[in-house]
Amino acid sequence: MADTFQILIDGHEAIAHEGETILDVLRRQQVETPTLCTHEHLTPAKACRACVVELMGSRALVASCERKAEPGMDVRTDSERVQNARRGVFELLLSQNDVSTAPALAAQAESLGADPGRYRGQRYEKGFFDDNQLYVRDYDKCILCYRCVEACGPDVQNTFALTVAGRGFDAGIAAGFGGALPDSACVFCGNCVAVCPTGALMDRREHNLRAEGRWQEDRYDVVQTTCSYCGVGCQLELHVDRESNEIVKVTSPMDHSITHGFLCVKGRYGYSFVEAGTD
Amino acid sequence: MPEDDREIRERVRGLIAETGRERSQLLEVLHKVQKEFRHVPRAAAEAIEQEMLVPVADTYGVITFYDLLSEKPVGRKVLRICEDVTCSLHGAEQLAAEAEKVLGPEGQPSRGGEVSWTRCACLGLCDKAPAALYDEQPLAPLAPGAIRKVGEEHA
Amino acid sequence: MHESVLLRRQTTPALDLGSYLASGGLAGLKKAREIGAAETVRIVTESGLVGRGGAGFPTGRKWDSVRTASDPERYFVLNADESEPGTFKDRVMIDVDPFLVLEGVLIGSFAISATRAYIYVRGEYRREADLLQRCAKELEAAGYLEGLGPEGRALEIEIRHGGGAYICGEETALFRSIEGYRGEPMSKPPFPTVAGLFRKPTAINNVETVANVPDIVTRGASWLRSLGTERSPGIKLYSVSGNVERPGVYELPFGTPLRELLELAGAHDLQAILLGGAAGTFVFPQDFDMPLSYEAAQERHATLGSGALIAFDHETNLWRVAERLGSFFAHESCGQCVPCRVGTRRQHEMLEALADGHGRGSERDLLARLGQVMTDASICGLGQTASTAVRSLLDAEAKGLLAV
Repeated sequence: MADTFQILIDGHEAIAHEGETILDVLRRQQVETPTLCTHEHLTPAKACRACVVELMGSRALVASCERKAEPGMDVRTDSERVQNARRGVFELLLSQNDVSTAPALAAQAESLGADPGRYRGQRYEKGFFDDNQLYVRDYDKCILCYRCVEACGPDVQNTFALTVAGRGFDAGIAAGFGGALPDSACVFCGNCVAVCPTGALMDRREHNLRAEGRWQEDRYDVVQTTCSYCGVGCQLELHVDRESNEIVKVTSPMDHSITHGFLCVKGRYGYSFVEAGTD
Repeated sequence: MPEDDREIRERVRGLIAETGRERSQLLEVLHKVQKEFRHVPRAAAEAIEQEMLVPVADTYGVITFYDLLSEKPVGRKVLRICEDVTCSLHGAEQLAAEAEKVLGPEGQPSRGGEVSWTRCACLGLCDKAPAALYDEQPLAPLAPGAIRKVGEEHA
Repeated sequence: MHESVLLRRQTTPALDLGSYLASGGLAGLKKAREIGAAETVRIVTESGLVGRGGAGFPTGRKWDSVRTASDPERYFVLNADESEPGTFKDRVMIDVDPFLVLEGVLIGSFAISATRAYIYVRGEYRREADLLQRCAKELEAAGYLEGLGPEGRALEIEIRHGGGAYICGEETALFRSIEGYRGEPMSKPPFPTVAGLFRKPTAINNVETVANVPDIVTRGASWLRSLGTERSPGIKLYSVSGNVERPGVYELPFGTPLRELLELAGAHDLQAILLGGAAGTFVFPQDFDMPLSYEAAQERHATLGSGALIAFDHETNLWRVAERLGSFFAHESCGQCVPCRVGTRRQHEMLEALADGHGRGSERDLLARLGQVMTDASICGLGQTASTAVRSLLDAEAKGLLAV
């Protein structure tokens, strides 16, 4: 059993375990905290700043996803400063991004009372890339959360096909030497797609169905199965259209002990054989 | 001047050998590549991946982060015109306009790839404003005549 | 009249080791070797020397935590990435007395028993980097690096060239840059003295800061304290530019009235100055009698920052100046965090509208609001201070201080 100690959250005492982040404690205490870039299996990028909290004695606000809890910390989440900063982060994102496929982002923005029209100016226009058979990249929707870069890199896949390129407002995700995915080291595992919080990265089938206006979440059942390609035993979630009996997407549960939500190209995209003999 | 990729990789391997293979030498290697090829071509990033184990994508991310490195060719000599506060008080905008007139569009090499010009952030030459760097050396205070001279140098 | 210390070789720069020694050079290093690392750090602490790069952290305390760290691998880093708009004192310091700067590096490295010393020079200062490289080689060849490293080994010095990115003056970004990465700042804590370059204990100091060290060691802590004010002991270099007759670097003891510096530089009938660089504040004639000290600046919600002073006459449109600052920050934001990446762009767009005179009327309120978001929520000092000058201009405008 790890050491435990107390910290203060909005004036109330809370138990924290050694090694936990402030966000871990906030979540256990059911203190609603907006997050965008942080992900349970990835290194905190502390980039979006949606989860900032006021740490008494610290000049600037701190990212609760990254900052480890320490004995005696006095944390405020309900102060005007925190609420303003969080709202500001969402207002800035709304001023630049297409959030049409990011319902979680939009919902958090609304619950913070963010005004989508607060800031005006140049939109984030990084383009739409359709350069392979398995997934598309719509970077106008990218909020630069670093998740895809981390999943492609040392946190999961060790493929290192992706990077953040450029600087400031012009920074964006790039593959390889800034070209098409097939010209990069990409192995098409789709783990970047699995962690993308805004739909900037999207499986081709989902993208096509959406484009045709045929993407209907309420028609899809999730069928659990084990991947049949090799002996690792990855658990698959087949998202099946109960009317057409088509598989529209394959994922793996983030809390699965083997996959942690991550798959390889075969498990995630190699499912057309299932439908091959069905007519 | 354009080299084929194999030759580029070979020469970059040489630069790495004289600099060091550790990741922490990446910027030093890239400076040398930039100087030799006027940009960091993809083939150089491939050689760096082989020799220094730095992924091509990482090198691309680094090149695009730093103003002195570029993935597209710049002039063999670059004129950098400061556009920050002090220099703009002293006419930096007019000088940039003059540079455009004499040397063509910003960032595009002219005169057979010999020269290009660009606006840049404060060069730390504010006591000699308006300031510029030309071929890595201070050219300050910069006058329209000096820009025309740069143009004539490579006429 | 203050007699130059840091700039004492300005008229006859000592550009080779022989002339540096002939003019009393390396006495500080000799003394440091005699008294040992612990005593050297004690003297520097006692002198009250604080960082001259802008943040003002006590140098001795920095050195002491690295010196006493349990990890035997530790680094000394000289931050010569001077990129703050209006700042050029470190360039001049290196140009006129490169050996004085290096002597400071040697003493600092000895004091913390550094595995290696890195000198990170901004890429645009090629001349200064070459000069430091040549001088370091001379010191090495003459045997002056012997015995300065851990367990009596020779100190290794590496010169590194920045890539052209203001953010790399931020210490954690500078470490990333030396390590071969994009210069994206990391969160603090951990602080560099605990986990700095290569995650090892690191003392990182500005050029001007280390240039103070040889004299402090030779003349004693009380010497520095005999100059300046009680809370700002010592001397400061100021980079003065803009609408003045004699732009340049000026050395003055802390506490000297701002007006005196302006007179030295030949400033007449100014509308305002920008004090402290792009992340500084506008100061108007009503405050020109303020003493130049950390405490007096703080009282006026101003900052000395790096000691940059840009002067503006009555013809200058200060909103145009703010627009240039906004452009600078938008260009130099590393792009990592949302408040800075998007915020500096939005700030610049609004400043452009105000400078061009076609704002929509809502910019002033929005700039103040956005500034607060950037200050509170950004990862590093760049985003946290990118709106400081703008907000000071908003205040001044509300008080009717702007001429145009």
